[in-house]
Amino acid sequence: VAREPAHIVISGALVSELCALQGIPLADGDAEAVAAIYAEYVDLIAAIEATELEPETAPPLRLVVPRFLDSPPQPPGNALPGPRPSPGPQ
Amino acid sequence: VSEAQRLSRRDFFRRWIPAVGEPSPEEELAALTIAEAGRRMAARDLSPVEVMRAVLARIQRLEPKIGAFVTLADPERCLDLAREAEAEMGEGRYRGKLHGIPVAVKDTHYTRTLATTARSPLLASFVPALDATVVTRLEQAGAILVGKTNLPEWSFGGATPGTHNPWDVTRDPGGSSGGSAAAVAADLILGSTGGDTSGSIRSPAMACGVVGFKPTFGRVSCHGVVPISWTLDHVGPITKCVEDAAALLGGIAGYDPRDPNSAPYPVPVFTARLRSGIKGWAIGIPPEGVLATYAADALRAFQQALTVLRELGATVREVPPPATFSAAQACQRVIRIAEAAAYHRQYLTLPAERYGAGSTVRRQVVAGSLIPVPAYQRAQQVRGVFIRQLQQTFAGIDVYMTPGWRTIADPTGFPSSPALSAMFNLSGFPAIVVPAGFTADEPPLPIGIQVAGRPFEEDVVLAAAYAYEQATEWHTRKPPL
Repeated sequence: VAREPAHIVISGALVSELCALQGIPLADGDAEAVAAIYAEYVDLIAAIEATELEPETAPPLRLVVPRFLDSPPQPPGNALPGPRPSPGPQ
Repeated sequence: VSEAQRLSRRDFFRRWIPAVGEPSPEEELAALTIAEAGRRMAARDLSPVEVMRAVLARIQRLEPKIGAFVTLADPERCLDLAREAEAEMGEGRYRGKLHGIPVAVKDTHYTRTLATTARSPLLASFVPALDATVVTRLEQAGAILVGKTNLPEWSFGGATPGTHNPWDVTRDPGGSSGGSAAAVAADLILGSTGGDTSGSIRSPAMACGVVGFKPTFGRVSCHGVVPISWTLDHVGPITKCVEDAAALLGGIAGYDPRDPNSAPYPVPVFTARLRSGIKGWAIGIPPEGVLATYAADALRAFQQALTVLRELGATVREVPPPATFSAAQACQRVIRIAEAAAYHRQYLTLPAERYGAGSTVRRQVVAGSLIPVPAYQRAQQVRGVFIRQLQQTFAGIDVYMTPGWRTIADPTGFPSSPALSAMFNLSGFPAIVVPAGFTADEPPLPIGIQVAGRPFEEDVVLAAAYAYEQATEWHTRKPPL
């Protein structure tokens, strides 16, 4: 059943076929249960696809870096413009 | 490794637990924090053997009621290690704040001397050939591993079946690191580690009224830890107070070449900034609309916490979450299940019954194996955008605070971790929870607040949490056991 071109809700029969292709055995009732779980992900994937994105944007390999790699360290209390009290001796 | 070192929990009980009885005076030392015990041991005012005896006595009496552990180490071996620590200290070789401290780790951490089951029948008799880096570092710091704590099957879910919340043993401790949180709250152990993919350190810590700290992604090695999702998983401490979280994190943090996601950056002394105070700090909080689904008692505790922080000299202002906040929630769930499916690939080709009759995980990861690769990659792309936006969110603030969430201790069901928890897994930013009050339930259940910070600024997060903790008394309350 197709909702929208990119968001196919799959049937239990199709789950069985796809799992067979991957060598994944299923027990009784698994195919329909998996199809129901997968339907939730279809909605999530649709939400992700709806996000505007430059197609060239690469997925991050290193998620985060410390601030000191980008700029000199800032002690807490200096986040807002203007003079802030020093955090004192460390 | 001798068989004596591989005693199962049943063997432990047979040898050590004749009956559930009244608390003995010996148990009192089990209530110490790591910091208190460490200071007294360093001053030669307390023996690690005394502390170990207290912990073992406490486990002997209360573990049947709490069910925090999957496996316990041989108690004689624990006492031998405590005697070795005592001897080292006597020779002036004090290793630091964790020396001689009884600790536990979640039963996802590889241990050569104890089985590592992840609570799956597939790993029921798995004794790894190596220790997780976290286990090795704890051992090097002189900590003594007393046991492996309980979790739901493969760490999936916000409940920990088999473990009871020390504040109300008819309720669950939350999950997935529920065994660790319950053990710390019940004083069965001085500190523990947990794993956090969507909130699995922070949720049970809040539910059990203790401190749970998910550090920056890459700060603590995940080498030798059974994963859910390689790019969302974090390992961190669960402790009785913020100072202990700093001490335990200091023992396990640092670059590890065996973990490809490990961050090659220097590790600060996490306790160094603890007492700096927060005068002049800017605290960001979510706008009211974002908190619409939060429980009234959690919001009340949050407002009271903000009042305390203002009195300490901080300014508080609303800061909206990034524009991609909603999509980020979807990214977190898609990435989590797709990566879990990739890890479980090795088991999915086995007969379905190998996961166990009651398994709920297998069907989830089979569904994850059907997610198209472009969808997974797009989720990672949007994740990158979200992280950049979150960095901008932090531009005008020092820390970001949120109320605690009630995923906890409710026998009727466990909602998934809220977006304000999981966003710090997706972004990798550090986030801690500390006790901040109690619900109106009877008996009352703990409520927490969350403090998050910029990447690799755990010391700042700890300082804010410590300032709040020291201005209140919630962390000193104990469950009625």
